[in-house]
Amino acid sequence: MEKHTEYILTVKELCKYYGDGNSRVCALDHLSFEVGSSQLVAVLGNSGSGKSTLLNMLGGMDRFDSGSVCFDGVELGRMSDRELTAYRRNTVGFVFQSFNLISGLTAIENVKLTADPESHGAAEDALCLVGLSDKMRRYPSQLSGGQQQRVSIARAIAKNPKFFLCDEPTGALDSETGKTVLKCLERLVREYSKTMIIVTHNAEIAKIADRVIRMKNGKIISDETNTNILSSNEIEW
Amino acid sequence: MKTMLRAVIKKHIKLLISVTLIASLGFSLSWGLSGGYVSLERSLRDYVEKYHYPDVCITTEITTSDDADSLLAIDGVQGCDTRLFADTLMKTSDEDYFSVRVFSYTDSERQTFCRWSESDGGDGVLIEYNFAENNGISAGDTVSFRVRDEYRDYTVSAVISRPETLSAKVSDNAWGLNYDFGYIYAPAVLLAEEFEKDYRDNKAQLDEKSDELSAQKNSAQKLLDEKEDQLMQAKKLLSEMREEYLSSSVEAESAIEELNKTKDELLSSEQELEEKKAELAAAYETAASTVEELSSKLDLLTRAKEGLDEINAAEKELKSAGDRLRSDSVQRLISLLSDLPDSAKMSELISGAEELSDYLDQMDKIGFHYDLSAPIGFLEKTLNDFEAQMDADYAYLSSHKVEAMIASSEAFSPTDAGYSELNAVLRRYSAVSVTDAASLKSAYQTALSRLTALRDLARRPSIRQTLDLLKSIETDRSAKELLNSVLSAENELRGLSEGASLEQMTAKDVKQLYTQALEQTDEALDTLSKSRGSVIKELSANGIGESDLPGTLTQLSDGIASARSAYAELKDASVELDEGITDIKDGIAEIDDGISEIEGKLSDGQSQLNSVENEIAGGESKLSESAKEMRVFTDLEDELERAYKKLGDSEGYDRLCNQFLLYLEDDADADRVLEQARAALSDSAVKSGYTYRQSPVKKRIDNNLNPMSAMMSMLPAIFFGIVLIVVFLFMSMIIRQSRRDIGILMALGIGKASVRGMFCVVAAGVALGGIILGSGIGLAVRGYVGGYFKSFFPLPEFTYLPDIGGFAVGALATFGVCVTATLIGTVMIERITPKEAMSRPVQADISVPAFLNRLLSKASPMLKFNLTSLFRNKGRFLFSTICVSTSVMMIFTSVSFIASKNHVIHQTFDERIRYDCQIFFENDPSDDLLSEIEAIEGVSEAEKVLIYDIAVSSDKGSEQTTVYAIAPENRMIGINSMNGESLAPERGTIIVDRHLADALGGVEVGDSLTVASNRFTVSGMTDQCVNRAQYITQENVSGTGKPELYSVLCRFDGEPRRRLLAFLTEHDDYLYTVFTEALYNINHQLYATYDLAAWILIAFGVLIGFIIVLNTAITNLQDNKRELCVLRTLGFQHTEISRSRFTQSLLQFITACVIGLISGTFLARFTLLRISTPTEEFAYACGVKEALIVSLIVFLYILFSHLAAMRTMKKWNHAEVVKDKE
Repeated sequence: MEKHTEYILTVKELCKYYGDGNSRVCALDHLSFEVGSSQLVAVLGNSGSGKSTLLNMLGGMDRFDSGSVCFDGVELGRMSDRELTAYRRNTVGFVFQSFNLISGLTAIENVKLTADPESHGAAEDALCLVGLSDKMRRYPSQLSGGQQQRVSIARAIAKNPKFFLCDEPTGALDSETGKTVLKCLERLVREYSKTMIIVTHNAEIAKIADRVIRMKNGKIISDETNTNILSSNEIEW
Repeated sequence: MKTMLRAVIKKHIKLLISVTLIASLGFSLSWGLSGGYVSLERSLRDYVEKYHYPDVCITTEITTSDDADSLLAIDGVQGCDTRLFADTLMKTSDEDYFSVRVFSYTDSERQTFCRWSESDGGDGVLIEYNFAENNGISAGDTVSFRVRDEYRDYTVSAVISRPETLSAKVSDNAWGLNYDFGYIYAPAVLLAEEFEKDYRDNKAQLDEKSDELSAQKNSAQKLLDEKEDQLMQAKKLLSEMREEYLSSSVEAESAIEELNKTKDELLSSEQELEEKKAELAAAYETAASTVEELSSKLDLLTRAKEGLDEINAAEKELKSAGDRLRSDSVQRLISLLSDLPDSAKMSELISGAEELSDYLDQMDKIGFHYDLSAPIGFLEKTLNDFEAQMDADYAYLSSHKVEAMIASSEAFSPTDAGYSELNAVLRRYSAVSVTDAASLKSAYQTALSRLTALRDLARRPSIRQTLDLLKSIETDRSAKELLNSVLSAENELRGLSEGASLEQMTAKDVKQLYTQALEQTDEALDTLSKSRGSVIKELSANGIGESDLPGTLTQLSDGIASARSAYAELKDASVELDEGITDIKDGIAEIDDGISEIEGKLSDGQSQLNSVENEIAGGESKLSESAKEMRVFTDLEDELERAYKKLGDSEGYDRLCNQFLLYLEDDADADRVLEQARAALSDSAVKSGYTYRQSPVKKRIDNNLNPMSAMMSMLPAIFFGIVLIVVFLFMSMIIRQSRRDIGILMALGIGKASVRGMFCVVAAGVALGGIILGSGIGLAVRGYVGGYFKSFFPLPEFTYLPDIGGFAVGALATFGVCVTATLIGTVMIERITPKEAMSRPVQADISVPAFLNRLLSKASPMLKFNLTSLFRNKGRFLFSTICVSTSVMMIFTSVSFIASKNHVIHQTFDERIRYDCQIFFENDPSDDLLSEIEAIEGVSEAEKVLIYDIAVSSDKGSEQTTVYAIAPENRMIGINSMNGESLAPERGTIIVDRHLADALGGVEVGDSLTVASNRFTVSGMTDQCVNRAQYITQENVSGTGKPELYSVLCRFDGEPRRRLLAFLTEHDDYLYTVFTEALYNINHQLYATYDLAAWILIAFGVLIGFIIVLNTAITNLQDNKRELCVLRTLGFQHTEISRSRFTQSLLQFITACVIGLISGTFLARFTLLRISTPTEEFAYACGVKEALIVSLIVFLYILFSHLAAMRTMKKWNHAEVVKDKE
């Protein structure tokens, strides 16, 4: 992979602690890395490695204690709560492990939640993109896990964010379904040139990434460019 | 377990404290408020019971208590007390005077009175509390009473509460409080001092009365005798008058008889004349009809003659025209035209003929004769010859020779050769005789000129054309004939052309025209002939020949003239007859007048006689009445004797009394007892008496306190019920929040009973805390409420009786609810496996009704999510809405009461009462008194009002009611219709209250009512909340009887109270004064007690509503925690979510308001109906304004609840929730 000289995301000496006094835990320990555009970055690590905490920091869902996170030249640490919310609304597309769809809304309505009301048809297009154009009027309870996750991906796509943050997107799915979902995500990067960070503990998934960052105990233990990128069809679950 | 218990308590400490406080609040309000009121009510009733009100009260003249024995003997009477009372004046300073009623009391009564304050005044007077407080009198003060003409000082030994006053304050008639008329209780000895002096005075009065009576009797007897003598003389006079009348009437009758005879004769003459007049009228009519007949015949014949004349004239004309048309000349012309081509133009022919004729005339004048009788063919030759001649002559005259001759004519001589030829030529063309040169020249010029003209004429084409035309047709006819034919016939034919020019016609046209004219003429002649025939035929039918017609006409005219003359003579005769009849009628009328006069005089005479007889009869009647009246003196003498006897009996003051109080057995008939008591005491001794089978005080208390106490018990019970529901909810919430902990305990093997027991301990702790705290607060509330009521109801001793039953019920209910909520919650959790308990409850899908889905299909997803999530727990939403509705209902009911109360006060004190005081008198105050009152400084106006307690009847019923007789120009009492328009009764009209109208069977404006014996028309209708009355004017009070009360209404423009009271107390008729300000204050104070309850209800309604809505909002948030955190994660601002979430609260607000306002309306009406009394109605007075106020209050607390709930959301760690880590 060629190195991207333009970084849209820069993390420097990022630290996050939980608790205080004797029970203080360092969840992130002076993390530093950059992410370029149209990159698929996988963050690997076991439970407690701090990968989810990192995702929270990058997504503006929590505040870090020290360091900086810059997105497109804007420092997240200086943003107010309101600005962070707007950042999440306009800049970041989230995909959660547990889908987090609103149960009382149909698929299209879930997608429209965050779509720009001015852009007509964005929600429909997003659902088409993920192959669910025929399931628009279904409620989450009427969809399979994979379909729900794809709706969640469509919701993230519909607002046309600058980059995507995926937290164990296939964690709650079986292998076949997981592959389907992964294919969707992969397409976003390869065909639509989106930037994506996937947090996972599954090393196989990391094989589709351009770059793999491994974490342990809140630190980055390796940050490697993937020389043998596989497609989602090729990986073994 | 203890550790677990501590942990649970610590975890939910805030909630537990909240629940405890809420429980204590409900408990305290329930027990404190209602308990306070119930204690008050109980104290009031106990006091009334203790006082032991009598069943019958009789007021008499001063007598002794010995009469009580006769009353005790009446069946049904259990006991009898006697006492003295007197109305007198009291003053507390030189300026402050009061009318007071002083009662004596017994020792037992002295103990019974509820004492407000006391002094060491010993056997002083007891002053009633309200009167004392309002006038600044305290125990230990010295007051002065007027005893006869002097004031004596007494000490106030105590200020007491009197049952009547208490009842007045709680009663339906706070108007009964007359602070300027005080009730005083004094020992009998004090009163007896008054009456001891009375005794002596009375005796003196009796003596005086006795002397007066004797003198009156003697003078009356003397007067009676005089009257008898006068009567005898009058009778004698009457007898004389009667005889005179009889003789006069006989003469008059004979005169009348003669006059009647004369009248009959005149009548018969009149009849004859009438008959003659009728005959004359018949002849008159005959003459008129004859004239008419002849006239019409004459007209007919005249028209016939005129017709014939016209026919003849027309015939003649037509014949003449026909002759002309058939004339030779016309015939010749037509013949001529027949020979001409059809297209030959008449214009050419006629003008050509004229010119040719003229030419021939010219020729003839010159001497060139042509015989016009010769055929036309020769004319041409003649013309040619003539023209040749003219040419030759012209050439000659124009020759040089002739010119030279003319030029040298001065040397002319007629005999010269050459001149003869010239002369001949000249003579041809000129009439000038040539005699000399001048004449020669003249003749030459003339001849030349004429010749030239002739030559021009000869050259006209028309002449040759005409000649050719004439030649072409017939050459044998002479020219004369032809020309004449043309010229003479032209005129005949011109008339036929009818406006069209004959010259424009062709020969064919003229021939046609001629033919038509001939035919028409013949036709017209034929028509005329026929008309003539028919006229003649008609005349013949009437026997008149044509030749006879003129003669007949003349005869007819003569006949008509004769008939008219006869008609005029008859008319004159008729007029003479009419005059004769008129004279006769006048004569008859004079006779009638004469008879009437005589009869009139006779009648007058009779009337005079009757009148004198009546006077005499009247005098006799009066005399006998006077004789009867003399018997009154006998009765008065008897009375005097009795009074003397009584007076003798009343010397002992301790036996004096003027009021008897009877206590009856339970089943005794009070009215019967009263009747018997009157008889026993003798009617003349009894001044008044009344019964109240059930003590009026008790009755008033029952009427008024029962609804209030029902409300005071019911509403706190509702409070408490809602409180318990809230407690239930909170306890359930605590258990729900402990689900996980319970699951862990179960997973660890702790038994269900232990778990339940642990939570029940928590619940019991909450209940106990609530009860203890509530008891403390309740006592304080009771104290406050009691103190508040006590300040209004003057019971110095107010026993707070512990309501053990209520306390027990409340405590049990509190315990029960807390423990039940806990048990239900724990049992439900224990039914599921420990694993399920420990894990997050699976949220059920939201099942949304299809119609709602369709409705929200166009809404934003956020809005849809927030509204549909309500359906996740429909029961909670429903319950919460019901609670808020109840809150709305309670608030609205209270607001309705306040509005109604304000309406009562406004209607009474702003609209109706426009005076500052009402002064009551025992008798009718005179106009002078009114003027004197008005003259007091500070009094601007005074107006009299009479108050009747009287029956008003309609066709359908009768009701006893209050009727005000007001001044016609009333300004003091505002009387408004139900629409707010100002009403004023007029003479003969009455304004009634709606309630009376309903009670009388639906009386309407325009109906008639009877008040006493007077009929009134209903002119208006009011709807009064308090003291309903009907209104008439004082012009209509005759026959209505004695008013119940006489009063004067006054307006102030200053502060005249002291001066006014000082003035009034000097008048014997003065009773007491009621100041409007005092009335207003007492009503305000009375209603303020209701206000207290209303405001408490409002506060509680708001509090409960707030708590319920807050709890619901927080719970709903919890239910949607995950989704809301997802939305936050997805980038929705807190304010966005809050705004959208508020739709749930809005929906609840709208639903609750609708339900609450509707139900509140019903509850308000019901409540107002319950607290209304027959004389004080709390009408429903709410409108849109009140509904909006309530809605605003509810909206505000819903908004605050929502904001408070949303604040809890800010504390969530949405990132963790989204990741299932919370």
